[in-house]
Amino acid sequence: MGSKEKQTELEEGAAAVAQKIEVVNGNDAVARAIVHVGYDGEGYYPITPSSDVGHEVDRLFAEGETDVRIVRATSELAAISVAAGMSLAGGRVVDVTSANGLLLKAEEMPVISGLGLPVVMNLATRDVSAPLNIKNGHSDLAAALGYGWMILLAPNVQAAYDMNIIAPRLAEAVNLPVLVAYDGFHTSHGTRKIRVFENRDDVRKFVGEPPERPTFLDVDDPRTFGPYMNDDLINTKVVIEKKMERAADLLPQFFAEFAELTGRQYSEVLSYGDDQATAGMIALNTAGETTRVAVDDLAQENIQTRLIEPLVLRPFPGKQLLEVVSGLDTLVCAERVSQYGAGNYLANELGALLQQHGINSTILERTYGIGGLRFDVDDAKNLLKLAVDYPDLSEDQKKRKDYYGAWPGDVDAELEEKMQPLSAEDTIFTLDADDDKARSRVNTRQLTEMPSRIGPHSACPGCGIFANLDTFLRGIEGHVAVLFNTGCGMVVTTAFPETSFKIPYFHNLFHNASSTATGITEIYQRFREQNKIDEEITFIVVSGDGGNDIGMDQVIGCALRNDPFILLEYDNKGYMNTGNQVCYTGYEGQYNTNANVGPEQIGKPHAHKDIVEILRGTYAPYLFQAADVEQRDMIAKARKAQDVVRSGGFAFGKLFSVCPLNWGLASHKGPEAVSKAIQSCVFPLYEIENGKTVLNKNPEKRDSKIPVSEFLASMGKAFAHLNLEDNPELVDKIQGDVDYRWERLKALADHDLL
Amino acid sequence: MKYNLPYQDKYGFCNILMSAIGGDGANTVGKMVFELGVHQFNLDGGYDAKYGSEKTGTPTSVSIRLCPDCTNIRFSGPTLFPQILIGFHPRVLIKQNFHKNLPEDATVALNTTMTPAEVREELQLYGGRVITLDAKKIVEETGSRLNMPMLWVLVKVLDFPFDEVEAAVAKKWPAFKETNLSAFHQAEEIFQDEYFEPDEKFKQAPEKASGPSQIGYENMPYGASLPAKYFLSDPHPERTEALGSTPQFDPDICIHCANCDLICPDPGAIVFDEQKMQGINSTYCKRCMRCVTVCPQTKKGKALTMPSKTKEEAK
Repeated sequence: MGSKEKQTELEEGAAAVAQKIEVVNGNDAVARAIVHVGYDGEGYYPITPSSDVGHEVDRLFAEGETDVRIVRATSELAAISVAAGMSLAGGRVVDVTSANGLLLKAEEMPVISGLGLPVVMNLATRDVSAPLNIKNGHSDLAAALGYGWMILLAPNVQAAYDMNIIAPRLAEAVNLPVLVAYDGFHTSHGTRKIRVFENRDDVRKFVGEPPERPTFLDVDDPRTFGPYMNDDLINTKVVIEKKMERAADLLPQFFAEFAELTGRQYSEVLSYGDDQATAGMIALNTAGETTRVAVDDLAQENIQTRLIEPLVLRPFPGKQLLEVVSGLDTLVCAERVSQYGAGNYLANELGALLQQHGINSTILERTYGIGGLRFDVDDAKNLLKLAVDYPDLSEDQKKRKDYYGAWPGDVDAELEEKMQPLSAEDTIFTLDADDDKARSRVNTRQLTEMPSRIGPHSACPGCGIFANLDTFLRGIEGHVAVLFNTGCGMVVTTAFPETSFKIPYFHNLFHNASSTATGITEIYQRFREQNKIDEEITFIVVSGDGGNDIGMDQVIGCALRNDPFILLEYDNKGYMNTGNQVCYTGYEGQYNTNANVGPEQIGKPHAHKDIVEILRGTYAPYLFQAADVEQRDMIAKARKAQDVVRSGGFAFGKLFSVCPLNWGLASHKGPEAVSKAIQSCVFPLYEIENGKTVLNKNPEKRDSKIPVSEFLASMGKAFAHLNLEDNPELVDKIQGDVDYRWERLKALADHDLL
Repeated sequence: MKYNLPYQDKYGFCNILMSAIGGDGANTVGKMVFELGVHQFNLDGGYDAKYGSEKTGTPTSVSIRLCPDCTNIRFSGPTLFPQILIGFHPRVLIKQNFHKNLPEDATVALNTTMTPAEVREELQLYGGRVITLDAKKIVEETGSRLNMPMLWVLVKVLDFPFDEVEAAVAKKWPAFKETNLSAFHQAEEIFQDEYFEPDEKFKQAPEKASGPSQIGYENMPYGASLPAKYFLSDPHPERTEALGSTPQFDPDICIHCANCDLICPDPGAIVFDEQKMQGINSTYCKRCMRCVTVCPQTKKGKALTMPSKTKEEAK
C-alpha cells in the first residue's frame, strides 16, 4: 500500500517525552488521562459501559494517586449539574457517560456550552432504544451533535487516552465543552497495550494552566450567570459558532504539538487505502479500524477502495473531508445509528458538503452494528464491495438507505405454546372464602401451592431479589401485573426472545416505573369505571434501591398522590447490575467499585438512606420493611398492601436482599446475613399503617439484639474491612447511626399518634 | 525473551477463546495470560471479555489475541475463530457452538472426564489437538478454583515458560500459592493429549456462535414485546450442572415445613406436591444451598444437607 496512502493511521514517530507501556481497557485509559491531566473535580453517575472510568479514578483517589474531588451524584442530570457548578466555580472538570445517561444530561448540555464552560465529557457510546440494550450504538452520539459541544472521536484504546489529553486544551482554548466519544464495549472494555506519559508534568505542560475566565467565586466582580433572554438569544448562537471556527483553526496546532511529544499524529480526518480508488466508505471509531483490514484484504484481491475515518465531528471538518472524498464516485456512509424516515446524520452532512462544492458522488447510507451487532472484516468488505459494485447494479437492486445485518425472521415459524395464562382463581385457592380471618393467618405449607408467576431466570445462585419477590407474590391473590425499573431483577428475567414472566410485565427505564404505573392505574381505573375491563388486577412496581435513588422524586410523587399500586424496593445496598457502585442505601464506609478502600478513603463517605422514613412525610397509607427470612411477616404485609391498593391507596415496601456476587458472600449464607440485619436493628421489621408505626419484631424483647459489627461480619468479603479492629471509629459511627434511628423508631412506635 | 506463538492466522494473530460461566475466574486468568504475553514475551494483541453484565452461573467467554509486537491491532470484540478453544464446562461450550468454527489444526482443551478420542466424537471435530483434564477433580482435591487447572492447560498449549506463570499466580494470590501450584502439578500429572489427523471423519460445519433468531423485522411482535405464551423462559440444565451438585435430600427426615421452598430464589427448584416436599429438580436448582441453611434440625438430623463436596466448602 505504502506510497498510495494519503495520510497514514495513528503511526508512531519519534517521541519527545518519556512514555511507558500499560495494558488497559478504554475506560481505564480514560481514567489514566483524567488523573494525568489533574482535574479539580468529577461529577459522576454510573452507566454501562462508561462506569469503569469512575471506578478507576476513584480507586486511584483512594490510593492517593489523585486528589480530584469526585461527587457520586443521584442521577446523570445531577452529575452534570455538579460538573457545571464545579466548572462555574473555576474548576477544571470532567464527566463520563453513555446512552440514556447522556439523554438525561441533555437538559444541561446546551447550558454548559452556552455558558462557555470548558467541561470535558467522555462518552462510551451505547445505543438508546426500546427495548433496552447496553451495547454499542451511536444514537447517543448523534443526539449530542447539536448542543454546542465539540466532539472528538477515539477509534481505539490508545486514542481514548490521547484525546483525553488533547480535549481539555481544546476546551479551555475556546471556552466550549468537549465530548470525547469512544465505542462502548469494543473500546471501553477492550484491553490493549498502550503508551502513556511517564511523567504527569509533561501532560500538564501540554494542557497548560487553565486560562483566566470569569467565575462564580469572584466577589470582586460579581456576575449574574444565566439571565433570562429574549431576542438577544440568537447572538449567543453566533458566539458558539465563532468559537467552533476558532477551534477548527487551533486543532491542527494541538494535534501537531501532541505528535511532537508522543510521536502519535492525529488529524481531523484520516484516509486509508488507495487514493485513486473511486469507491470508498466512511466509518467511525472501531468500525473504521476494522475497515482498514478490509481495505488491505481487498487490495490483495486487486479491488481498490478507500476508507475515510473522521476523528473530529464538531467542529465539522468539512475542508479536510472534502480533500479526501474527492474522486470517490460511490461512498458508503456507514453509521451505527439511523434517523428513521430521513437520511442519516453523517450522510446528510456529507451530502450537503458535496452539494455545496458541486460534487456528485453517490452516498449510500448503511446503518450497521446497532446494539453491538458484530461488524467484522467480512462485513466491512461487503460494504466496500457494495460501493465498488453499486454503479453496475440494476435499478431495482439499488438501495440508497438500508440496515446492514438486519434479518427478516422466519415468518412461517410455528411457535410452540408453552403455557396457559394463570386465572385469578388459580391464585386464590390458598384462602378459605368462608373464613373471615383466613387472610390474617399464614400457613407456610399452604403457600407451596401458590403457583409461581415467575419462571426460570438467570439471577446468580442465592440471589435475594427472587427469594423476596417469590415470597411476597405468594401473599398476593388474583391477577398481578408488574412493572420493573432497570436493574438485576429485570436483566436476568427478560433477555429477548425469552421472558421469565407468566404475567403482564413492563420494564420502563431506570427510574420511571413508578410514574408509568401511575399512568397505567389511571387508565385501568377509567376502563373499570367504563366497564371495559372486568378483571381486578393488582399492580406492583419492582425497583432496586438504585432505581429509588435516581427515581426518588417520582416515588414521592406517587406516594403523595396516593396512587393505587404497590412499590417494592429490593435493597441490596448497591448498583449491583452495573457493577456494584454506590447506592445511597449503602452503609458508611461500604466498599463499592466507585467508593474504594485505601489510604486516602474508606468506602462510601456518608450514612445509609432510610427511604421508609423519607416516605413517612408523604402520609401514604402503608409503608413497610420486610425480609425473605421472615416469611409469615412478609405474607401478612403483602396481603395488607393488596388490601390498601384495593381500597385505592399506595403501598411501599422495602425488602432486604442479599447480593452474594458483590458482597463476596457464600450463597448459602444469605439467610444468616438477613437475620443479623434484623437482629442488629440495622434493618428493623416495621410498618407504618395510616401514619401509625408498628414494630413487627423487636430483638431487644427476646434479648437477641446484636451489635452492628456482628451483622457487618456476616455480610461477606466486601465488608471485611468494616470491623472493630481495623476501622473502630467507622463501625462505632455506623452503630451510633443505627442506635439513633432505632431509638427514634421505638419512640414513634410507643406513641399513640405516630 | 524469545518466544514463538503456536498459531498465527493470516493477520498474524493467535486467537484464544475460553468458554466458562460467571464465577469461574476465567476473566482473571485471561487477562493474566494477555499481560504475561505483553510484558514477558513482548507480544501485542487484545483481550476482550464477553460484553455485558456477568451473573454467577451464566455463560461467559474470554477472548485473547496474541501477535508479535508491532502488528496493528485493528480488531474489536471477541474472536470468532479461535485456534485454541478452552472449555471450562463442555456442555456450556457446545450449547454456544464455539466448537463449530475451528480451523483444522485447532487445539481444544476441556475440563472433562472424557478421553481426547471421546471428545473428538462428542464435538465432531474435524481434526486437531485435543487435551482433556478432569479439572473438577483437581479442584476437589486441591481446593483451588477451576481457573487454575484451566490456566495450566492454556499455558501448556501456548508453551509459555511455567516458572513465569507460577510467579504471576503466586504474586496475584499469595495466600493460595501452594494450593494453586498443587493444582498445576496435578494437572500436569493427569492431562491427556492427542492429535487427530483431519481425516474427513467429520465435516467442517461452520456455524455462527449465536445465529439470528427466528424473530426478525418481518415478524417482530408488537413493540418488541414477548407473549409469555410462546416465549416463556426455559431452564438451562447445562448451566446448573456446571454449578456443581444439588443438596442431598432425605425424605425420611423431612417435616414438610416449606422453609426450603420459601427461601429458594429459583422457582421450580424445590418440588412440592400437595404440600409435601418431593425433592430437588436439578434442572432448576442453582446450588446456592440456602435451603440447606434454613432446613430445620430434627432429632434425625436435617432433611437437606450439603452435597459431599461443594464449591462453598472448597473455598
